[in-house]
Amino acid sequence: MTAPTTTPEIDHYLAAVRSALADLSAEDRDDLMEDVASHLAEIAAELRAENTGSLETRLGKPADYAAELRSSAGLPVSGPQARQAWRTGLSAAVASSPLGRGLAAASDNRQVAALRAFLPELRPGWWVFRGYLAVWLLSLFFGNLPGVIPTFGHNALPGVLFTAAAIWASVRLGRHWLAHPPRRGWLVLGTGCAVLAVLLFVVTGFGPGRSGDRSYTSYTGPAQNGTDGLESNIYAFDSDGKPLTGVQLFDQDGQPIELTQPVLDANGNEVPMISRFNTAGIPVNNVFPRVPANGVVPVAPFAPPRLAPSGIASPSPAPGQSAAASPSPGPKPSTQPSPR
Amino acid sequence: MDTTQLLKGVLDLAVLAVLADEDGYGYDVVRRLRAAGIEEVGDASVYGTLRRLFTAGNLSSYVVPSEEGPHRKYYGLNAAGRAALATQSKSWTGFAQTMDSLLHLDIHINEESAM
Repeated sequence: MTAPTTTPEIDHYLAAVRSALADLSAEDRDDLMEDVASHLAEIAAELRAENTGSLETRLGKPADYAAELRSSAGLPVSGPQARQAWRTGLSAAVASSPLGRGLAAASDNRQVAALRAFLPELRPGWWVFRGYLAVWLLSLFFGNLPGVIPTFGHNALPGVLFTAAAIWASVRLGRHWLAHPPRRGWLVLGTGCAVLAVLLFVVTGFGPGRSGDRSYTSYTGPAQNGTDGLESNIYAFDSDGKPLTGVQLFDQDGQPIELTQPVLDANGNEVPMISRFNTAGIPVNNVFPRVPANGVVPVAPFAPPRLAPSGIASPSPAPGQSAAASPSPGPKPSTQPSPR
Repeated sequence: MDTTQLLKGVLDLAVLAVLADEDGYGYDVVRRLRAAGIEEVGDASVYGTLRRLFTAGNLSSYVVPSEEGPHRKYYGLNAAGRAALATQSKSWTGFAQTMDSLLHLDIHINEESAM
């Protein structure tokens, strides 16, 4: 039978024993806590098997347990070891300051004490949130500005899977560390690294190349495009799948549908676009596909499906369109592109 | 008389004796002490004693993974532990004999005075 190695009851008892041993050196305390964790696991397994009793009825109050453990282990009843002197001196200095006195008064307060006793209950919740947060920050780093669900690319699934995996790992880690707390040095190092990473992250503006801006800035109109890397242009086709050029897009109110974000090349550099003007000499930005300054009309890196005949009468062709792009009643064998 | 006070003085010896029979992990030692009749022994005292004997260099330890829960740390006597067991056994036997004779004398006196 596989039994859970920790339960809230064990966690509580462990935390109480640990705090009763707080004045010991980290090494001594960690050694003792390792023993306590395995002892409590044994007792809990026995209690489960007998289906009766609690840790406290079996072992007494955590503080008494800690005192018995401490004295039989030959460790000082209270009072720090020499190498901890500086830390104790610091603690004493803090304790004698107004802040320290306030904190001491607060910890004597019953509500504060109750809150402190309650905080360990929140641990599993923190583990879950920590796992989720890690993936969320990671997704930010990869250039997506995520919503609640972290996204990688345009599909929600990897984000969801990553999050589930990270939460699982975080909970496992949390339970492991609870039973076998890492040495204080590792904790300090880990926390330092985490803080440094977050600082770097903030300073560099959410990831390399500020790529977040590119994918987040969207269309000003309703046009949609679900294909990676093609957000910065629009390709139009007739019913035969022939590419159209010089297509002007408008919404129902006659407002031009424009792309506001720059077209980027493979290196992420902005590609200058040929500006189009209407006959009144005013620049128009709703003509697609947008053509780069080298004058080569971009070819869509995909092939659209041809449409089955609908029988709906098409409107008359827009002026300026080439004959090849005019509406046709049915499928035509020729699918040659006709760039202007 | 409170036997827990007596036990404090001889718990080291009791733990060494249990481990001389066979290596054991913390709770296993607790169980074997109880089975041997030392009912009053506190769990924490046994764990603390094991830790102290280990730190003092009388025990060796090794970890055995357990399928039911966290791994178990087994303790066994090393050479120093066996030596400690021998010396402490000797002093215990001497002390016990002294106490015995003292008590026998005491009983004897009582018997005489009762006559």
